[in-house]
Amino acid sequence: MHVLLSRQDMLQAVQRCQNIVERRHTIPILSNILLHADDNTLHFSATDLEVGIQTSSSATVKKSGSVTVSARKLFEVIKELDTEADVELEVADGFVALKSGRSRFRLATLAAEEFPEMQHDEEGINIELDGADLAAMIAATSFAMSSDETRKYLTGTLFEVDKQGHLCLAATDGHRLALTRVRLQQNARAGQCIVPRKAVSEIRKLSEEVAGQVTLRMGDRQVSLLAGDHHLSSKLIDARFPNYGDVIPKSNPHAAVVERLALDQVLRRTMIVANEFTHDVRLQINGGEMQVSAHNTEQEKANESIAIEYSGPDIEIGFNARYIRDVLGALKSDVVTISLKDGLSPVLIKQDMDSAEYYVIMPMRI
Amino acid sequence: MIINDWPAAIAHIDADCFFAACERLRRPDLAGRAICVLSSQDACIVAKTYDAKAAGITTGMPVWEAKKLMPQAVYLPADFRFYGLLSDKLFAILRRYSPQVEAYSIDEGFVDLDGLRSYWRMGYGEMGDAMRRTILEETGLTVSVGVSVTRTLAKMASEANKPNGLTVVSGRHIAEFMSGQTTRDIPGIGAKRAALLEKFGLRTALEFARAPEAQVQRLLGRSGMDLWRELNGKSLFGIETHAPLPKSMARTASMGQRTTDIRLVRAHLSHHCFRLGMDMLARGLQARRFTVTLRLGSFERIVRTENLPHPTQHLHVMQRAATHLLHGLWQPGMECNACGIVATEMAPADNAQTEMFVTETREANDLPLWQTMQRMRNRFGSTIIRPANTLLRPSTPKSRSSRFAYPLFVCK
Repeated sequence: MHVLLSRQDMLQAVQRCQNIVERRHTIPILSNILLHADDNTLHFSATDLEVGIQTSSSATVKKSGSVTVSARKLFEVIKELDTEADVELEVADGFVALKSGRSRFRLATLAAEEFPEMQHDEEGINIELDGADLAAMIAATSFAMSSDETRKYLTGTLFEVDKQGHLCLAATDGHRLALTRVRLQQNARAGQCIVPRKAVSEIRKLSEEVAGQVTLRMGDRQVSLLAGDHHLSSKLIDARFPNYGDVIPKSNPHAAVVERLALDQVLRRTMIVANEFTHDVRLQINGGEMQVSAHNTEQEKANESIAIEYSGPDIEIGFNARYIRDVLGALKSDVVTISLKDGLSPVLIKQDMDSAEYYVIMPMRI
Repeated sequence: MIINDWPAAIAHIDADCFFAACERLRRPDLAGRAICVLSSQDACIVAKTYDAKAAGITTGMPVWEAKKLMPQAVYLPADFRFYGLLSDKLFAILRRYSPQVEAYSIDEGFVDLDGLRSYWRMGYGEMGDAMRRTILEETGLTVSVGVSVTRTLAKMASEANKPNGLTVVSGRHIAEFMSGQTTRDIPGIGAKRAALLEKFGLRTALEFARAPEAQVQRLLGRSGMDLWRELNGKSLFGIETHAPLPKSMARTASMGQRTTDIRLVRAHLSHHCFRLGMDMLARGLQARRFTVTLRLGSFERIVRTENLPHPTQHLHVMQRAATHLLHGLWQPGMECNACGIVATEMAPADNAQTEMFVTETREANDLPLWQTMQRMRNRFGSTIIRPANTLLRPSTPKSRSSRFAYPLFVCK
């Protein structure tokens, strides 16, 4: 293999692959990137056996061929090279000779044949949508994914196409739920899959970086994202996602409207003295005021009030302040609406009554 | 160093040879005999009577060494449940005298007596003596009491007159009291610090208290300065009536054999998890971070940790996390001889996060079941009930589990 390409193109491609590669893996070749040159294109592939990415860049191919090389080292080297000079790669004697300007490197390789073949589901639900919209949907929900590996089914995000032609993304850790939906422009059959945390993060990054339309393919075993020259694929979490529709409160009659940033600041201050692991705060809602208070086992206390629009009965309810702050961070509006029933029922937080994002938070017993 | 007689009044109550005294209480036949109480593995001495101490037996000494020194002594396995019952009784008596009581350990506590002279119509010394006598009458235990103006002085005072003694050190008598105490008698000053102070000519507690502030700061730093101020009659360490949250709770033990069978290790780990869960329930605590440790045949210790999204005290969740961690650590052919589980990032359990989905809600609803089990263990002993997934683990030997004898209390 012998190729010549721009340093900038190569840096972007290697960086994208680098995100997928696990630093410490028991299978050495998974630390490497597969480089394959043909038809004036250099193809890059990386995988951790769960998530894989294939990307390409135009290049002058003097001799086609394939090789694998350490993703980390290749990235570190290219990052430090002269930004103006092109990069030349030539494989010889089991090494890659890398030239750029007056820099010369020799990097170890492993045989391309040993690199695991990446399978792609050709069948599945194909959805075309704007990359920025998909990235925004993930940003609005991914914070609620669980990190509890003993409940694997909660460690990903549910991607669902419903019968009404919406794409819904839902994430929950069993204590809070984030849900967003968007109406699709094309017909797609209904179906759903749970996408693991790492793939969710990569889909978001790729969707953000690639301007314009992307194609999301939800197969039986895989989810794929086709965005420009990039093809990201991931295995799915083979489990049943909880029936999230059942936990969205349908009859929370009392709505409190509060300024988003002001409430966030009050919570940020108050939770300084809350328990450092449970972050429990008490909200006392009465009339046009919400009292936010916290205390800890060292008998330290904090108390602050904030003006709200509210006409329901007095309610006292406890929450993990971090859960509320996560929701306030995901929303973008000036005010948010918190729908309540009583002190022990889940609350629903929305931008306004018509918005597509739903956030449900379970209270704490206080 | 001229201060008021009683700018503050703190009493320190320390039970004499507590574990051994408890054993003597329920075994009147042991009266007059030396008693040594052994650790939970019966390996070393954790408490002894004064005559055993006089024979040279020290806390932590291996039992075979102690038996060489005093073969005629009675060596008994520890029964912490019984000692806990007597300790509860002791602290209940102290709370009659003042609402501000700090349980410093199972057999030692501080009582804030400040301002209570007019309420009880007696002096601080009389109050200390009344507490000592009441404890002896109602439990049969002897305690030593020190009453003084600071916590450090009160503790030194109780140590100065053991057993069954009372020492009262008012502000006016601090210098007189400390002149008879060495620096080694000051709590918080060990052998190394005492040796350092001696090099600068500070041998008695009084010499230390009269040393210039700058010298104490240079020699012992901030903690030394705090002690120096306390010895000079300025109370810095008050009574902590709220027990601080523990940083961690652990249950680990040897399996008594080496095994390559993960099922056996899992049974032992479930047992430790169950014990930890029961203790967390009893203390009203939950934890967010769990670590499983395995000791291999090569004595190498391997650990793996899991952070849960939210603190829990639910046994199901803890057991699931422990099993998940064990499977993450276990390699085929691995030989293991000890295991355990450690809970960290503790929080009070009264502020529990409610669950969203039915499966988890069912687990949360099991809490009353665990609480009932915890009460059963408390009342009938720890072997009365255990989870079925610990059955592979051999049960505790009979000689250790069947020695419960009813304590004798004098009820008033």
